[in-house]
Amino acid sequence: MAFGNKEKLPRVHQKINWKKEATMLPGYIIILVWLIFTAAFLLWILAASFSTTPEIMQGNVFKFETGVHFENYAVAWSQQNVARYFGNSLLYSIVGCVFTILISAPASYVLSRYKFICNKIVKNSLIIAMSVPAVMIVLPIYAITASWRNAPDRLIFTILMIFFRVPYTTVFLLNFFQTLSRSYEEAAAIDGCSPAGTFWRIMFPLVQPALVTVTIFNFLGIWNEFFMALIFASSQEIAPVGVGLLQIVNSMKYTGQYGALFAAVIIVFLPTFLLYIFLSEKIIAGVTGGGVKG
Amino acid sequence: MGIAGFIAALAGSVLSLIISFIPVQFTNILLALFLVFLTVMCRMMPHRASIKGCLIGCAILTLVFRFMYMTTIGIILYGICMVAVIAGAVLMNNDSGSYATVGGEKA
Amino acid sequence: MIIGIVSIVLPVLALILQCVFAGFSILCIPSIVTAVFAALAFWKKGPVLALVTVFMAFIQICTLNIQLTAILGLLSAVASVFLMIDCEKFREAHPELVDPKAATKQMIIGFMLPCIITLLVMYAYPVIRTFLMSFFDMQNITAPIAEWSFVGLGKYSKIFASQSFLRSLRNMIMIWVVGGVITLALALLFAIILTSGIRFKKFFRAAIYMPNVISAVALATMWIQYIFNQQYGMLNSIIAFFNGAPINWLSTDMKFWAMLGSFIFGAVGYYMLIFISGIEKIPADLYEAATIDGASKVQQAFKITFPLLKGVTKTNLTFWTINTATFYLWSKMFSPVDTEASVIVPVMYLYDTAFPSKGNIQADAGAAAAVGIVLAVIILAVYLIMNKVIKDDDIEL
Repeated sequence: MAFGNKEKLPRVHQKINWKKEATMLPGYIIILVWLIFTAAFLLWILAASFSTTPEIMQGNVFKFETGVHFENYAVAWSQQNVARYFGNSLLYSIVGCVFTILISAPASYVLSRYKFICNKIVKNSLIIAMSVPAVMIVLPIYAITASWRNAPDRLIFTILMIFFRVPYTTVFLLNFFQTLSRSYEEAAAIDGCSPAGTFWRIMFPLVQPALVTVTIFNFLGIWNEFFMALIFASSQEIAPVGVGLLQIVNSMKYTGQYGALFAAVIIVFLPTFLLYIFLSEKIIAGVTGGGVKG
Repeated sequence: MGIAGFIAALAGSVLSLIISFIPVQFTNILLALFLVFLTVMCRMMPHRASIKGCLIGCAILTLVFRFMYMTTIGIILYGICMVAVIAGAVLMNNDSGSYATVGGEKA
Repeated sequence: MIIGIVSIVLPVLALILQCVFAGFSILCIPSIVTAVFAALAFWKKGPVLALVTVFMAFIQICTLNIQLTAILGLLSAVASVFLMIDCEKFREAHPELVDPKAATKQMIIGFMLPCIITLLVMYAYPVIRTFLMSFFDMQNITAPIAEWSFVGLGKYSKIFASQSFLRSLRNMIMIWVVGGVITLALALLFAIILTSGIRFKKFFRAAIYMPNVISAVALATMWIQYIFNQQYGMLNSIIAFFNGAPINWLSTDMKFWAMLGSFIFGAVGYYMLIFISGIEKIPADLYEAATIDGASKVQQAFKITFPLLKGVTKTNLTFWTINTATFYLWSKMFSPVDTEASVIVPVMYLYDTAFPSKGNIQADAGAAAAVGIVLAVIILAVYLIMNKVIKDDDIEL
């Protein structure tokens, strides 16, 4: 123990090797310029969301001469309907994530564990389905759902979102089920547990880390969905945040409340941003590990 | 724990039944009635995990369906009720786990 | 015995009454499914089937919209709960019926079914129907197949004769080539910098990837309303600082480039991550050897990194192609109300053809489908060419 510490200590207190860092200076500069640009405009938007329209128009949002205007958020939240869009998006994302997992995880488990006739075919079709662009499927789906006008639109859009995420989720989970040892199932079978029970009680909890990762991606995907939402959920009542924000921007010509617009932008931006701050390592590992687009 | 779970689930389902009367929404009343029925069944047959499964599943389905239609304060009220039902069902399930080890658990 | 029959009869009764009073519609489907599952559960004595019956019966309470039938739905749900208990009791009384092979088979079917239904309903059927639609002429999207009239390649010749479609294709190619070169170059540059032993690597990586996770609509709004704004925008403030003349970034001439610039900003991070994962797979001793031989960082990049990144580049190019072909959001944000020729892309053309916002334009679902097919063919072609040209010959080290 002590020996290990001795070895590690010098590394922690290692002096910065300035010569080495100097050779990387161009790299630092490039990255920093990019980051400062990003930070600058994010901060500006944040400041603008607390300012009045005249202040924004004059370009001095950081001075807060007339104080900090929290009421922009109130206006955006209630008058401009952001509350409703936000609730809709939350509903679609949460229900979508849960049901996607409930459909995908069992299928993924069976595909990775059991040999049956169309195993290979289903796997390949899932991979193909993952890269089928949305434009190829929206027209017929619109035709199908148009005849369901009795069913609530929210339900239709939620189901579409679930179906839309299933191929990606199933393929993502395949690798994780493959890595699990078969001895779990053997032990469970000896104890008299049914195969389906084994899955739900033992295998499903074991892949929990992968489930978390894929759920984050599904959440982001559904939260940021735009094209499908524009077609299937564009009315005020049921629009998610993306489409809602577009509507706010379009109505900006008539309302002219720029402070509230930026407040709305921040509200839409914040949930995924916060998620990212806490889970960025997991997300990045998921992108590169999965090798597929989220 | 089991009795606490039962009370939570019963409170949740009965409360959702009450909300469905103001204003009177016929479908909601029926759904809430079924939840009350399932809660009572759970209490009467604590060793049957499948009824708890039904209760949890139906509570989730209620949430999904109510969220699709409602837009007002009802969503929040229903949300609280259903969370109470689900939590109650899970607590009851824990209780039956110890019960079942005596009675012989079904796989 | 009786409970089984009751739980089959009740949904059927509800179904019949619903059809009599309100006519057949999609709302009747849960009742049909309930009856079918009740019958299956009764026949097979399967508790799981009965469980599904309970859920379906519960859903049917929601969908049956006449008070009488809804009450019948509730009763059938209660009946199926008792059916489930009955089935479980039967199973407990006859443990010899449990056949592990059959149980496995049932599990495979039960677990795969939702997934396969998804594939068929959401992907197989729509793709086939889109393909067929592109050869037919129809009143509107929802027209049943019986009312379609065959026009052969007519829709394709129509879209390729349309000025706006050609313009959209040209814009798409511009995005693909110009945007692709800039994005991939920037991504590779960042990837090389970040893997060269820089400090705060994780933070930088996360910060550059960040635009990919936030809502692209919010990001686009930020760019349009702030950075490109003429009065108080960031770019014009910088120009004013250097005493330059302000530029109208959102004018017809500049709009496309403004859009491309903001799109690239958002896209770089993703491709950077893929490049980084590729670079990190290259063994470090190659670089060490090169450093000992006196090769500079730039030389190392050209001699070691680039040649070994072929496979990763192929992945990136494929994703870039899919991304460009399905490019829509940014165009929509840069021309939110009316489609403008300067930023039109094929998907936008498809949307306007299928769902025209102006009353005087006739929707043409066939042409829209043809656009979809053209895009899919482009993606497929690029993918195949890429597979031919860039051989996946990453050296196994």
